[in-house]
Amino acid sequence: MLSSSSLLQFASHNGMPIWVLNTSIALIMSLVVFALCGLGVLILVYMERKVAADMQLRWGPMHVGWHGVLQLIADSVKLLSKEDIFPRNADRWIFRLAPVLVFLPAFIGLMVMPIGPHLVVQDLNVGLLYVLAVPAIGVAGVIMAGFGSYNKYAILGSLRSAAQMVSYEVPRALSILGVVMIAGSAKLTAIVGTQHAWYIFLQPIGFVVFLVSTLAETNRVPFDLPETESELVNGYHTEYSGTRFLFFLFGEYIALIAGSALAVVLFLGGWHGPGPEFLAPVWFLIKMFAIIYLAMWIRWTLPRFRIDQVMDLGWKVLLPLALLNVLITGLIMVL
Amino acid sequence: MSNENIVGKNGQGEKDPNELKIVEEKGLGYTLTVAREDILKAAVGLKEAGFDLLTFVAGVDMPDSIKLTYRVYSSKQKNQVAVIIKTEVPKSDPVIDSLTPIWSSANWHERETYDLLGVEFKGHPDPRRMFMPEDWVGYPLRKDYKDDRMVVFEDYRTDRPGDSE
Amino acid sequence: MSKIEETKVSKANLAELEKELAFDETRESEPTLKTEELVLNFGPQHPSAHGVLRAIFNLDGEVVTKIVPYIGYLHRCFEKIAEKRTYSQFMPFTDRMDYVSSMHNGWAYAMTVEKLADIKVPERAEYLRVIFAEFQRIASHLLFLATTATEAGALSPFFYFFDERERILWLFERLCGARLTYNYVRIGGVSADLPDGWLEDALAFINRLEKTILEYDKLLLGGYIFKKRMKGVAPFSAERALDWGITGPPLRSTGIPYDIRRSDPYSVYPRMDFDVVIKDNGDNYDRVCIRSDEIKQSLKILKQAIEQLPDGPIIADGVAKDIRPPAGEAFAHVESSRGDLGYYIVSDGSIKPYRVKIQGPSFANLQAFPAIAEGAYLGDVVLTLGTLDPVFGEVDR
Repeated sequence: MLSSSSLLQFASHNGMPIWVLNTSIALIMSLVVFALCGLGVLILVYMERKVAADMQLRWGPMHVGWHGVLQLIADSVKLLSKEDIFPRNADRWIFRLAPVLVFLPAFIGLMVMPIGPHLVVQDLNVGLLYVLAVPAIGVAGVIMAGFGSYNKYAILGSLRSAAQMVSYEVPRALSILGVVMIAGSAKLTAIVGTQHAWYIFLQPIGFVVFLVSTLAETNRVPFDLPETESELVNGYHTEYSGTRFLFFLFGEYIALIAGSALAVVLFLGGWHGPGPEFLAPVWFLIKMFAIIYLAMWIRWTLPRFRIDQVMDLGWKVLLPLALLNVLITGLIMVL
Repeated sequence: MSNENIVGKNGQGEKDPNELKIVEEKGLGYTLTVAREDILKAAVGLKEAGFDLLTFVAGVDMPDSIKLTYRVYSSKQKNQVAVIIKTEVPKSDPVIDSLTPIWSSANWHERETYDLLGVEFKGHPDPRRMFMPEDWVGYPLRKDYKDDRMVVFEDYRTDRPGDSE
Repeated sequence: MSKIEETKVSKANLAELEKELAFDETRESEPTLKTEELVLNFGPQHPSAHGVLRAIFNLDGEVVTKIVPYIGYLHRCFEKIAEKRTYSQFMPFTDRMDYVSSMHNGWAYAMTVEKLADIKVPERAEYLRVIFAEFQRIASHLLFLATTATEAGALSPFFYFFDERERILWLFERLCGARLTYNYVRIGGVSADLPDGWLEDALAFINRLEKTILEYDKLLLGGYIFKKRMKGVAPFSAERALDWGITGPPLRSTGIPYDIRRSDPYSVYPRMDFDVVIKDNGDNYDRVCIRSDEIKQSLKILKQAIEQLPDGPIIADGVAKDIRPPAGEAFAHVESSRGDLGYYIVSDGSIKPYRVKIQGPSFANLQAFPAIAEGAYLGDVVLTLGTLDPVFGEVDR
């Protein structure tokens, strides 16, 4: 929407090269998305704490602000102002780089997410591929965090995380294939555009596989093995504190946002909903938060799997299911 | 407390192969007092008679010897039959056969007794200290144990010499 | 991670490495991947060390191949202290032994001294002791279920079980003013009679828990993931359990109905109608379920005890402040939440015990931990430690 003809005219009129225009627009949009992400994470953490409290017969944060709405700001300030603890034997650069590498890919992945008919930063033709590929770089950050912190618990956690993320990437990608086959495009706006009937009804197996593997990708219960408190203390971010820890927290929640946004785009009809067009982002957000609520509900209800069971589920259950889904979709489309 | 109801039923005297006398002692129930050389023999006999659960090994520091008390149960019978084995080792040579080969549970109990009272168990698979650090000197539960850091509890109500030193 | 271990490992490795290299040359045809065990220091400050257990794990991937436990981090010399205190002065220390079920500790100690000094406890006191011991058992088992759920990764049940436990603690608080270390049982009786309206509230709570415990069973024990996680993990047979000296719920989960309340009856338990719960498999799942079933049996006992509660004095007449039992020895034990809890006291006829030996069930149960858990996954090792339910106040004493 932003490289529309009027803007181009404006640029050429003022003697501005097009690349400058494009770059500045991209920068501004990134900043906007970044700010929105920060807000989103704050909302999510607050929501998580309130949902958890509600399920656990508690009140949750109540003291800072009305019903504790400012609690997260206080927490962030606390984390930001904390002493930067650096383990003596840690690998300096790997240790420093890891939080950024966890956080950035998750955030960049959001750039192609269409939250309204024209509300997208960069509508790539291979948007789907991009959304799958870029956040997967986060695994590298997790492994670096594990190796860099010179802590055996962290190494174990990061290796678990790597095994889990790589394993679940496969069924996750395959579960989406059915959608791509029906929509005939890997462009996210096109997928939403063709979705007059939600794909969750056409692709129920695909949706389940996608949701489960998204939970596994984002390291949430019942797949929170990389950071099991009872076994690995805190997994790969055991040694992190203060600002660096905040980055991990951000990365985790942004991954959750990205995962549920993708689920909405692919299976729940994206921005489609009753009412005028300007309500489209609202519908999108409502659906997204519904998925996020589901993830939280699961998190605060279920115990976690063991590591071999996680691997079994990924390779022996979800992968065949995803393949079966592709097969069924293909057969129906051919017939 | 309730050993009265099983008198006559158990027939301990016949079961025991080494003709060691089991007597009933007030407050403890059936008690078998053996010399320290016979402890292994008595233990094997009891184990064969069905006493499959050893629950504790206690050492008591007497003036010139260390009294050892073992308690074994036969857990399979409905009414519990317990036998307490008592033996003594002289302080000058506190060595006794380990019962760990017979009841694995004796392992930590004997380590504890070694740690706190200095009784050595011959044939113990893992003779280390239990609670104290490996380099600790002395056996804290002995009556004559002294440590500069020890704060002695001062109490007017004492009638035992040496308590309020 | 301690540096000392690491240097040790690297020194030892030099010799090993040479051996391994020579070994590889002889079998060149087989592709060998050089693997090394990871030595992991678990505890004493670890979220699921159940207090202060320190253990060295050898990890082969995710599988724990060797466990060496070290205890003693909570050793407070209670057995030595006992020799310097009068009989009644030692009473508060017993609460600090197994601080999750302190009522049983106090009771076992009082019972032993009563046996030693021939004190007859009035009937009402015996009933009150039974009531509080059973409430304590429920509270302790609820705590067990809560921590097990947390270790399995389910965080919400923790709060449900703690909510119920909190209600029991309120009842205790009203009775004796303390929530954890009660010092309620006295030699010859108990310290306080019931406040007004206490019994009604207790009955209301019993009725409530009877219903809610079934819901919790469905929520936690009936869950698919929980079953998958726990069933068939770290099982042991009855023979091995007896050999290791395991008592209490872990022993009963292997099918042996060994419960002191029945096999060596004390107090007024012979008058109560209840079943000794047993399970067959002796795996982690059974060890969890048996606690939940025992809560139900305890509720049954509580109802009967409250119904039968007689009037009368709550402490024996003429128990001196400074008890001076005749010289001799005594042993008495109770079924605590963790197993066979006994006290062995030697008296020399003076005002202070000559020797107090505490037979803590956690000590014996923890002893079996390496043998049970070796070969399991790291996540299951933590859970196995949890299902053995050691309390380190009692292990180290």
